[in-house]
Amino acid sequence: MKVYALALGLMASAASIQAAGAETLALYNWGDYINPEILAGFTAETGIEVTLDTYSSNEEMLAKIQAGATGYDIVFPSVHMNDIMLKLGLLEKTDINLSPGFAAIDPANLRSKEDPDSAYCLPYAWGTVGIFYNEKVTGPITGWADYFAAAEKGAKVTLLDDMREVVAVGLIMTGKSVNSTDPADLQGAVDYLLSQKSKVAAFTYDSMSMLTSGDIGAAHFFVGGNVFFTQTPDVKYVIPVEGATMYQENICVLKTAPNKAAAKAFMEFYLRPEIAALNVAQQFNGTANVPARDLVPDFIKQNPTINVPAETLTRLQIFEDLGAGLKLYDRAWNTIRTAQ
Amino acid sequence: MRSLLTLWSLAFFAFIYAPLAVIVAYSFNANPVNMMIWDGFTLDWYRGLFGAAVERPASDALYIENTDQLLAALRTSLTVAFFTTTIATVLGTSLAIALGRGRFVGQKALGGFLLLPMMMPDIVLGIGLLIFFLTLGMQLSLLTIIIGHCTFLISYVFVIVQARLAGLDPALEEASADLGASPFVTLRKVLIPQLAPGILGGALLAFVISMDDLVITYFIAGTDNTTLPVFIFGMIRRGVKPEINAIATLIILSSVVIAGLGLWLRARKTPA
Repeated sequence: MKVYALALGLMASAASIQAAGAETLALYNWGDYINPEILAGFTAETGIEVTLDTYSSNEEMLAKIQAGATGYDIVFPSVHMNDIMLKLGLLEKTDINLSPGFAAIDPANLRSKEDPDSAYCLPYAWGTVGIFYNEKVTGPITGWADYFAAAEKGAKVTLLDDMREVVAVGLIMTGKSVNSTDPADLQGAVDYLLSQKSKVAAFTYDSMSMLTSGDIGAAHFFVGGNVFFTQTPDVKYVIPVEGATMYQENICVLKTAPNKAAAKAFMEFYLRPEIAALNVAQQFNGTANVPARDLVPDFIKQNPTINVPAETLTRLQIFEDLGAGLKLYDRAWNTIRTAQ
Repeated sequence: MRSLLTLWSLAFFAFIYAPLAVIVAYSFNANPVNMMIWDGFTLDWYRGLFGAAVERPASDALYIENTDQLLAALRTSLTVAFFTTTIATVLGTSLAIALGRGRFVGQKALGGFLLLPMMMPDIVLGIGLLIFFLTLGMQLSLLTIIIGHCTFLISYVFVIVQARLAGLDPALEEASADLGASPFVTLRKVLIPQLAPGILGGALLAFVISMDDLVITYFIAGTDNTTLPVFIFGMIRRGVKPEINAIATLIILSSVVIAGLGLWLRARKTPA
């Protein structure tokens, strides 16, 4: 009780929350992308009721917000979508970078091009996209070359059913940027992928259960897939040596948010290391909160594919908004998917 | 030949029901995160759904507890389905009777227009409805979902009731009028009883489609009106949770009970 009272006092002094109990906060997040304890803790401390609705892709969320749906306070777009939403004028300036807790945020995680100082959004979580493999089936895998070699020897492998992620594999293997809009680069990526396509069993998001059951030997997936393999020592995750993509989502307040003060209070709540660490322990994601990195369970801290060391970071690339260049990717993706 | 046909039917039913059997089996799996690994038998998922507090061992730290949200989504879905079924059945049936028995200009064209919402891709209808509601200045809510569902479910009920109506003999209604019954009495005592199987079929179809709809609902749902399909779809990156299997099993069970009840009622009635 004392803790709550103290916290309430703090919140009030931050000039945000006065009428506790009456306020609500509407989050619009990816499915299962936040530890429910964070929401419960926020409500217990501030008296603000939190509602949570979910979406499954950036585009889905943008379509709804752009069409004019209101009522949501906070969204969690990926960095490139964060930029698009800023250009469209959908986001509210929060000055979260002036909050006292902001010093905890790793400057390397301020990835938005439109919001380089984090005056609008706060880094939420980030992670890598790599290869999960069953070592008994495929032998050790260090990267895409091994992955396709294992496929050649008969192991079934899958790639994500995702345009940018799959084209990125081709771009990485031909030594190009995953954000290239040079038609020649994309042609090279398509040629590479077409030469490998016969070895790929499927393009799917459903690969984690197939990997568990032994239906496939290796799969292209998000680092979060590790939650499924804490009991199966043979299944391992690797960030490909040739290079890989990473993703990051940010916490953004919508221009149309009905409860902007509560939204800012939530961002400040999430700046606390112990709160950010709650998410890491459950999601196996990276966090932008530097002190939080020491508060996560040991098995995560000691796993270099989850708690990524600096030298691995140098081979990661993040997707950027491509503007009109996206059409090239659309065409490349269609070619890859429809080729016999 | 006969044994071949039997084999064929068995294979057919196995094909349809095997996935359902898997869901039922895994709804008793104790593993909270990876449903493909069997960790032993448990009734915890069902107990959680019925509100019993289930103590999770500390080793289950990776399990994301959100049974409350799941139940809220189920409640939203059932509320929406109940109201849309009622409204769509009444409106769809009256439309079918009006177009089948009435006589006015543009009757044929109207019948054609009613098929449009069924043929339109969901995504078009969803965005169209969203823009329509926003233009009217309506806040997205449970009400907009119900209105939105009714727009296309009326067509489904209409089509089924109309098919039944087309097979009826108009002479019965004429006879009823000849015998001095008012149009309302004829409707109540002659027409509706004959249409009943069609109306019931239309209502059931409307209920199922409303419970099932993902794309249209997604666009016209307001904050905190997540329906069950939207909720489950949102889990695509994390994988399906064990409670979903338990809820699916309960839904399968209630479908079997409802369908069985319907068959029993029909079997009891037909000889008369």
